[in-house]
Amino acid sequence: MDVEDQSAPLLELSGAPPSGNVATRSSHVVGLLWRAHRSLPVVNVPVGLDADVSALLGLSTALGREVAASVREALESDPSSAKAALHELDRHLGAQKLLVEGLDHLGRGTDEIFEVIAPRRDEVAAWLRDHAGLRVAVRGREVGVRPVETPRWDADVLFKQVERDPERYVLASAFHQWSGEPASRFDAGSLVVDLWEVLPRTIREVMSLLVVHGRPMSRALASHGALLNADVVAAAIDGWLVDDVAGSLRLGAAWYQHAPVQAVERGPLHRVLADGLAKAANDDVEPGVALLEAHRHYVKVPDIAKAREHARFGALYLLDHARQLSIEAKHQESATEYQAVAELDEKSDHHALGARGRAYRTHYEHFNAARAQTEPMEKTLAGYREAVDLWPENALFWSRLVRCHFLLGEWSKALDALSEAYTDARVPPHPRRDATLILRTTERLIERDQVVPAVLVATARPLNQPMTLAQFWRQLELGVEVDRIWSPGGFDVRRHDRALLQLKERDATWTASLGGVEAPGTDPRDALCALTWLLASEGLEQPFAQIDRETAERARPLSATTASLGEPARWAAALAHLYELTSTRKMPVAQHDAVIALWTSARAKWPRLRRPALGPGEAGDYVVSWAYQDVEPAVDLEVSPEGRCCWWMRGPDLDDEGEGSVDEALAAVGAALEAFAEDP
Amino acid sequence: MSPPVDGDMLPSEHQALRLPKPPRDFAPERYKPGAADFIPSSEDESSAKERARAVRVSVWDEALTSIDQAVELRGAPAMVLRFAVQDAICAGSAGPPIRVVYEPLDPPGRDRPGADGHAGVEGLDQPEGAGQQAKSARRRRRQAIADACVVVGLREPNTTP
Repeated sequence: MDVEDQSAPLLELSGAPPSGNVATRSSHVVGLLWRAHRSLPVVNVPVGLDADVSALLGLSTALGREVAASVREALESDPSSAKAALHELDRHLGAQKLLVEGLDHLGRGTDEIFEVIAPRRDEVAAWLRDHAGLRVAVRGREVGVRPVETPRWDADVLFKQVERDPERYVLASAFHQWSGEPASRFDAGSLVVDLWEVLPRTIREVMSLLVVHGRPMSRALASHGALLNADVVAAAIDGWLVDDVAGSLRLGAAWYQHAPVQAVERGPLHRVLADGLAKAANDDVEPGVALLEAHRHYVKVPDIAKAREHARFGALYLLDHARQLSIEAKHQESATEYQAVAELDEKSDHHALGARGRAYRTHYEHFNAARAQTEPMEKTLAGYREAVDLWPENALFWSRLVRCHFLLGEWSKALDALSEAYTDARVPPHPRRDATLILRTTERLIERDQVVPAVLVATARPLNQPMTLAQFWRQLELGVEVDRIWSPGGFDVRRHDRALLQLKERDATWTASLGGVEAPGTDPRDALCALTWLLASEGLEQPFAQIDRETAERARPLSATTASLGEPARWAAALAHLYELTSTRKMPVAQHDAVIALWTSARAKWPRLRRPALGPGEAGDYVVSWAYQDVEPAVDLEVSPEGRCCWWMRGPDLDDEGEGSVDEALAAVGAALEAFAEDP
Repeated sequence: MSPPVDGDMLPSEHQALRLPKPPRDFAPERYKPGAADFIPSSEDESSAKERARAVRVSVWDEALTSIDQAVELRGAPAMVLRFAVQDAICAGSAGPPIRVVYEPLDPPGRDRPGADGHAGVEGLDQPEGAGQQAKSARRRRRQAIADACVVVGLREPNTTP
């Protein structure tokens, strides 16, 4: 049925056919534009996650079966890129320009899921911009139109009543047509609702399906298998409810916004559409578009099993459905659905996801499983790592990976991951990079009571918005309870109870304090690091095993930190060294215990005792030597592998030596050691 | 001038350099050399065993090796101690003799600048024995050399291997 056989136009262009970019919400005006530019094939970009694919499939279908088949094949084979499909279209179109409607729908959505397909959408948007002879958007420079004279009503008066709005003019005209009365309310919502009331049931049914479809539908698909009754469709067109533009049925924007189709009705309507479109695909009627739309409607039903069957151009709607479940806090169901998408993706005949889609799916499967508490956090961490490897630009994924490391107690690895996110611009610089990687991570750690990790992340890089965390720093100044402190280069200090950590800045110097121990630093991390050294040295009397192996190994090299911190830090470093020797079996336990016993007793008596020089002696002995240029005498102790001690003291009026147990050695050298205690 | 021969004694008027490991986490500014700085290392002992000769504690003849060369040859941060060969010999006046002798390096170290000055102090593992008396005697001999040392300072090589 040719469009000119349908309704007479209610409006006409008020000047020469426009070119460039124009705007209208009225499908009736789109029809006018199409008639004025007959040579331009029409591309409609609908709203939705599949907008780009829908546009390309729609265009290729209009260009013929061969083009449609090749474009469909290209889009099926690689859901992450449209390059091959665009190449096919270029080959067929040459320099032919297009009438592109709804290009602004390919802009970046605010939801993260749009980023999954952003590269493909950007490709399509750029291509359409290049090929557009006329672009029609919802907002922008309105197309100039005027009402066509009609004997049924005063067109000029009605046009004024709707404030020269073409969409409302068409609705008001349709109301007059269907009710036989002039409209009394002229806002778009009222016009749609009032019109709905006077429409026959059969018309409402067709309109409901088109509204729920949410985008233009080709007449070929609408009529196949009597999905939409052809006579009713013709009546709807004749009555200015539906426009036929280049063979596709479309509604004005107000219908999608205001049609009183209840939520409970929508599920069954999606089912009707899904089944009808699936049948069309099966019968080889516009199979590309039909499959795409059947998949979309099955997700909306929701009939996920059928949706999976009909997923051909990516599984974004399935991901989105899983995402909705997550938003509704149905985390277990969400995780299961993400898992099901993985199975779909792994099918050998086609891939449902590109790298970003796979990363998104993997990340949120584990995100939801973690919230449902159905998997150990180590598994979540592994999923998060896989996701950032697949999609390294995703700052949010890195943020969660970092937090997961912290929650597992892997603080050092957490900071390594944070650093990795910035390395080689894996997360490329953008205005929200620091906000996501630093501020968001910090804030979420604070929410989880991970105070020290929050400090470590907040100070990982200089920020442009330091005030954002002002309240956190104020709280730290007052004090926050912690049971673990660590900072790069420092000891990992863990406590059985919680103690008040304070971190404050005065005159560009930071001070970290806990339990009466206070350490200065050039920044919060430095102060925390210094504090850990002091706390570790305070803990000399504690059982040795409280210092973990990793920390001991990190502490092994003589660091600037220990040198600048003085004796307590040196004691702590020696402790780490001894631990390393015993843990690698280079020092027998008896020897180790004797050395510790010497130290413990000596330091208990002289808390400010200088630390001795240490090192291997002959025949497996371990040498502990107090020999300083500014102090006499010198005291050497050699501890045998069996824990026996030889001592030797020398100095003015003192030259003594002996051999015996730890107690005997201490009794002998104790008085001499007093000289090595620093003045308080 | 031909390179020194293994086992030839250093002239007693020469200065020798000893480069022990820097004291671990120990106040370097107040460091004082001690007997421990002249304990033969396990490498010193195994090398002696392989070559069937006396154990030698590695030192450098400053007449043939500058401080910088010695540090480069050692290849790691070290405290640099200087002592007179004569003082080392005197430390062995009671008991077995102490000798400071040349010990050419094996290739490829032999070809590096300053390598000719490599030497060793013999007699610091004497007298033999594990008893208190033998230990004390060895410690005294080592301490005697340590007491004769001047601390040059902590040095690091420019190129770490």
